[in-house]
Amino acid sequence: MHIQLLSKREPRIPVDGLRHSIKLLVVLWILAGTCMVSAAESNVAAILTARLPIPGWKPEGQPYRYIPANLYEYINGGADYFIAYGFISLTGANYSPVSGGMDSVTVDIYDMGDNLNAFGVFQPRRDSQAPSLNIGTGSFGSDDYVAFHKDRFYVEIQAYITEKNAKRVVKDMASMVAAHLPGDDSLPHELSYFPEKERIAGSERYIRGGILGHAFLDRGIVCDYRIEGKKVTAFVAFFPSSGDAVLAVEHHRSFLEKSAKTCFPLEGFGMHSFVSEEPFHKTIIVKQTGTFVAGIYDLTSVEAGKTLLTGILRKIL
Amino acid sequence: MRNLTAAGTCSCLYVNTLTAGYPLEKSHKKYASNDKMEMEYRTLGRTGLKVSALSFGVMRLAEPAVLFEALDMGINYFDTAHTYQRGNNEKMLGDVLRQYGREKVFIATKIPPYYKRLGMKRLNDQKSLEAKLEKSLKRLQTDYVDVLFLHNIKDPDWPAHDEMLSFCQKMKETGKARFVGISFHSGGKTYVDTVDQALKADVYDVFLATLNYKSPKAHIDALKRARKKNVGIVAMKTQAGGYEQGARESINPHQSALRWVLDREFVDCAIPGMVNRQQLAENSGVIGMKMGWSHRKTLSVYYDGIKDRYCLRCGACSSSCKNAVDIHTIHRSLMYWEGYQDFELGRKTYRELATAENALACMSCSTPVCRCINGIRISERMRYAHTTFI
Repeated sequence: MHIQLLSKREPRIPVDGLRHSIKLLVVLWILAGTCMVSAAESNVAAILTARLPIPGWKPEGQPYRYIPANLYEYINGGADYFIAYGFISLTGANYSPVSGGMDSVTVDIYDMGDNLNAFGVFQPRRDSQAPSLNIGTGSFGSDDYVAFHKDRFYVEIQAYITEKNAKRVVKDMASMVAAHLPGDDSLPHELSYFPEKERIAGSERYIRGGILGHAFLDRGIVCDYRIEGKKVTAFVAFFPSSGDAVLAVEHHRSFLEKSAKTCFPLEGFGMHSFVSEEPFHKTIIVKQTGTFVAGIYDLTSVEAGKTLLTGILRKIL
Repeated sequence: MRNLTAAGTCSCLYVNTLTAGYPLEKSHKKYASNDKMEMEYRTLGRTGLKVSALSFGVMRLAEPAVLFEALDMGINYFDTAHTYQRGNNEKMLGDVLRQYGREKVFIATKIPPYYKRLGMKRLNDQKSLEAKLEKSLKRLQTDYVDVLFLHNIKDPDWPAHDEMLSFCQKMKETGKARFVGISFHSGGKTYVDTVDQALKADVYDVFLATLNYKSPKAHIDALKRARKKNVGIVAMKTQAGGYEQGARESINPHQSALRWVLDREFVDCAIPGMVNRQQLAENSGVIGMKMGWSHRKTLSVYYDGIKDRYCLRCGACSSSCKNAVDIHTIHRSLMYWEGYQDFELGRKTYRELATAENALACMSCSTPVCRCINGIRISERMRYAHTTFI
């Protein structure tokens, strides 16, 4: 047998031992992650079975669960949308009145992995006319439908209600779910990049797949402002590194030039910035900073856009 | 409101002059990147509509500018649904088409025929279907849709249901839907039965169906039967996967997959979902291209990499087992683990099978007769599942 002699002056960990330690750490890390996910799932299932239904209602069968592989079986083509936003699993249950009848309520809890993804799937579904219901972080709905998001979860509750005295059941169940879902009610911190002044409330969207339809601006937040009576749109795109962000600006410049648009330097904003015309969106100004690319489009006045862009860049930094 | 008028803001793009009733099969177009692209038009079965072979699945799109670009490329058929983004998808499409000119394009939307919950067992009545369509028309800012689909038919009996037939006929008579159809993507025999039942009803003008290079022959044959009866065929889930960047020069697997679908002579158009210009460019790159040997090779190599594990859910294997092993569910449990790294769900799915249905019988089966027409070594996979999950 080979015995490795270790110097007293230079104690060394055998290479094999080090490898084993790393492997062990990796395994523990994976196990920890798996346990966290499993715990989240069991928490959600517990809400559906232990906290719901509210009095007067009973469960119809056991909670069900869907993952990316079979979400199509439940919500058909709509599954694509959730999967694109990082969908992990859906846990849901059906309820019916103890007194019988045709009424029913369905509670679906989507685990979207983080609060930004949950916000991302919630916001495009939001009816801009519908008032907030003060459930979870953001919510809207009616007597037979409520949607809200909280932390990493997006929740939809739908009902078929004929009994007049059951009109509050959906909101009551939504409040119960929101109260027991783990996590907090704060909005994604990425929204804090946008100054509140002149921002159009509720216009914030988290885009995956391409801001302005550009794959090189794959993900980021977009929101609307009203400046001098005109609506403009601001965006902040996120990148893994500052190099990627710089590359995105170059891709954007290249796209515009191929579209016969001229890009001019954005005065006062230094390198990796430009002003140009974005097809279908009037004037656009763009600036890279760190791992972000920020911009304003639909502008009629570059100067007004510069003030807003400066505000965004300050918030990012 | 944003000025999204193509002619007003984007001089580089050529404004499409196609109209819905445009009589030509082909039109010369140019694309923003100065690449030449000639959109191909086909007749959508008995409807007579001349639709672009590459059409647009709008579902996930957030940026209207991509729709304008698609319009300028000659795409003239847009697919949405009552339920997508709770109607906001229809609103976005409606906004764009109002500015572009409703009469120049074809709109297809879908109404769910069932009350979604309670296992989708309860069908909506005609009155509530009509109310849903009214809502969709309002969002789309139009008085009519060109094709109205009953969305996601899961039960082959639904298309023949009186309430459905009556709703479809009334919508055609009132002009709110020029044509009607069904959409479906069930697996195995349900797919075939749905086609056959809908053909018997003889009311539906268009089928919107899952079709890709992995589709079982039975599904392809069913669509061919429909096409023979002059039903329009719109293909969805054509690429069975995502997108790859660029590639207008040499074709990539996803482009090959789309081209494969468009090369089926019974297909009138395909509606890949697109969310940005790059995907639009990638898909438009296959227009005018003929599927050559190298493209088939690309697709074949791609499929070879996954085919020994990828179950097409054709259902043909079930009858080939002399025992009662539930091959389909066991494949699904393996997919949960191998495809989605969810070991717990794979194991749970497997363990829910009765002893007679799991792969215990396979462990001692010395003369397996189970056979997969797509080349999966079933008995090996079953034994693997049993040792993994039990």
